[in-house]
Amino acid sequence: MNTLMVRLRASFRWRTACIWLLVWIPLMVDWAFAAKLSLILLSLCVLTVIALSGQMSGLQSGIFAKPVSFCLPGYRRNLRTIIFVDALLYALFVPLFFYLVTLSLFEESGLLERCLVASGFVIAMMAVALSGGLRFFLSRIAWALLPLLTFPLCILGYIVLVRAFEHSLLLWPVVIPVCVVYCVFVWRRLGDIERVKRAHRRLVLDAAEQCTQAGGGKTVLPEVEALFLSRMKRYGYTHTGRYMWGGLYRAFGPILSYWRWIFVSLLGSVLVLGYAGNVVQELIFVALGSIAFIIHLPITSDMLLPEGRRERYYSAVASACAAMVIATAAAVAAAGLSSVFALFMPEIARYGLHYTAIRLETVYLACLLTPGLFAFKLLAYRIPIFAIISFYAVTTLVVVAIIYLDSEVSVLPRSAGPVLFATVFVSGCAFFLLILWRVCAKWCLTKEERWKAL
Amino acid sequence: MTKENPIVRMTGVHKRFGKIQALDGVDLSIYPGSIIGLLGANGAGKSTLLRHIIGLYLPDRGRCTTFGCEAGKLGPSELGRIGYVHQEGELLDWMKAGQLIRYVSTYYPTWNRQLEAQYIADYEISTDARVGSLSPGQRQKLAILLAIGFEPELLILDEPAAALDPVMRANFLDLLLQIIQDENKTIIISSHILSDVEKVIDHVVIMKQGRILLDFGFDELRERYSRVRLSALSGKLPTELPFTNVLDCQRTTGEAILTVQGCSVEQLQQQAESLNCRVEIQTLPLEDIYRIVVS
Repeated sequence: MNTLMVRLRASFRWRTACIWLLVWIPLMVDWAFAAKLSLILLSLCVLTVIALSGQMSGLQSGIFAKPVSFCLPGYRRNLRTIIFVDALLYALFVPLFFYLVTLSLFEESGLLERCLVASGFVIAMMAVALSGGLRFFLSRIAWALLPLLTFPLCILGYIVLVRAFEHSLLLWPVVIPVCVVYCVFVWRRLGDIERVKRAHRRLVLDAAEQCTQAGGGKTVLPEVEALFLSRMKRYGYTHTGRYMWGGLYRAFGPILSYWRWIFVSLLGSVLVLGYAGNVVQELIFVALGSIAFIIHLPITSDMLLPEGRRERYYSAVASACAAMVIATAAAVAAAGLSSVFALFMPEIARYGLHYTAIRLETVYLACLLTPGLFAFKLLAYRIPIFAIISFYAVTTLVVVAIIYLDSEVSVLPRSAGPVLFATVFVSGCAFFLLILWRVCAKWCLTKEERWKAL
Repeated sequence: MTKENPIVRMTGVHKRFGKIQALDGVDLSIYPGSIIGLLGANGAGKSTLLRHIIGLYLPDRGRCTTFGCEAGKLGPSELGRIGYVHQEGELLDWMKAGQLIRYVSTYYPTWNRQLEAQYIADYEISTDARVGSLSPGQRQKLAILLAIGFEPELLILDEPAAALDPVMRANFLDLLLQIIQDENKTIIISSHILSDVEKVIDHVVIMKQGRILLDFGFDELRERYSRVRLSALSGKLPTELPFTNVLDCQRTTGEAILTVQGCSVEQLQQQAESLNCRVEIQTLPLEDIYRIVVS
């Protein structure tokens, strides 16, 4: 029991719990408000519950792979208890979340509402058990491929859920026993010590390999390196252009080296996205703005290069602009590909699905959030929680804007859309430039947290 | 540059991180050609001071200039003359070591390919290995190459040898001694391995809680502190020993070891003449001097 408590304490941290709450509160408000207008968004919130559970399994496997685990007696036997206790803690929030959603969706208390709230608990349990189970029992290759499939799978899951909400009131009572059966299945499999031993060995080996594998992992492609270095050499040693291209290399070198995988993922997403409908297509384009979170702005660096604060400023502006151009280019490519696919993709009449091309006039949404998110990211390098809070705050604003513009009950005229979005974009750019100037002119330019900087 | 033109000048620099006063009124001048050992406990403010010199941090109060330029306005022409190695320095993990060297060298007109090739051979750096997969020691060697490859006028080393094994540390010291041959080079070394540092430095700066406790030439400092060993030739030593400024005294009946401050060898010998004993006078190693100053 003591071992169990130690592991439970290891998997539960106040800071993580606070972050989770800060994720949930805006999400609940966000979706509860949004779901009032659309079943589509209700499906998205169910999907979010499942997607967030992936983080739980990451935490579990992280603890499981730590060498300190070996010091704890009975650590393998306790594995399933840990997973299911964590799942329980997570699942306690979800019915409340579903209740808020359904409260705004249905005016009268009915069977669907009750089923939905009740199923929230088992869906959350199942989602954690599913992701935990997958982490421990999928083969190494299958696990490595999973992130690539996540995006198309999410869209597919969404389409299935929309149909479930639209067409079958009886489907929800079925969900509960299915989820319970799956949870029992995972519980039993995690009780098989031999199987858990094999999975544990694999996790530890994976972790060790990541540390020691010489030459392993993807490096930048020679042609990408040649492209950026040749551009840098066009400018003088003290010219800002050299530093801007250098910054672009640091920001986009690794991403461009994965261009084949990115293209495959884009292709798969477009194939599925055509069936998702206009609102979701627009939401996905807005989500493309989150590219800001994976692009490194060349501001904070301990590796001393001869770039001063002024050069860092221009270099960051260039990287942010390039990120917006890339996001928009990806959106244009997706719209173009979907137009081609629309010519031959079949209609799935049985489920009422037909393929619609992505509207080209929506591609501007792809870079709508990017400047604002870059600004929040800059702020967040000193206060990490700021990134999460700001991400959901901005997403909420945009989701609300889209719903109002796309809904039949919109309070704003359709023509207000471009003006509204232009305002959001320009304000985001101004905010970003202001914060960037502040950072480059006044702040410490290292990544370390302030109390570690001594 | 002359004594009137230090390459780094800090005047009344204050820096606070939340509740922690990282630098508290630091005044420091660094002149060209000097090799400075920056010593202090963890959290004394050494890294913060070094980062002010290269403009990564800006002072809350006070003034910091490097090569005559305010720290916040340092540009390529000034930073291109400064090499910097940080103990946990960031490198671009997704590049191969060779790619990283090519990338960094693109920024410097003075990059020395010959030195690069020699260093790679001597220190057995695998240019095909991914930077992220290198051991801490290998990473440190690579970081040192990136910092010295363009032959900087000012080399700042923040715990440069912490991740190196003893043989590599010895090689690194040899390398530093080679660099020092050029009189125009200025080096600031922050390190806890004082036995290494004392082989190369000519100036010592000791910090504590964000303040500079001591800023002295190394030779001058060594003359300031002495260890006197007295061995009675017959019987025992007198109870009262005729030495002034004694910091520490360990004695038995016939022998005494004293740590004395501010007395020259001649003065000590004079003072010891009245005693019927053998006198050995030694200078203190840097580690002992550091302990005395900090305590």
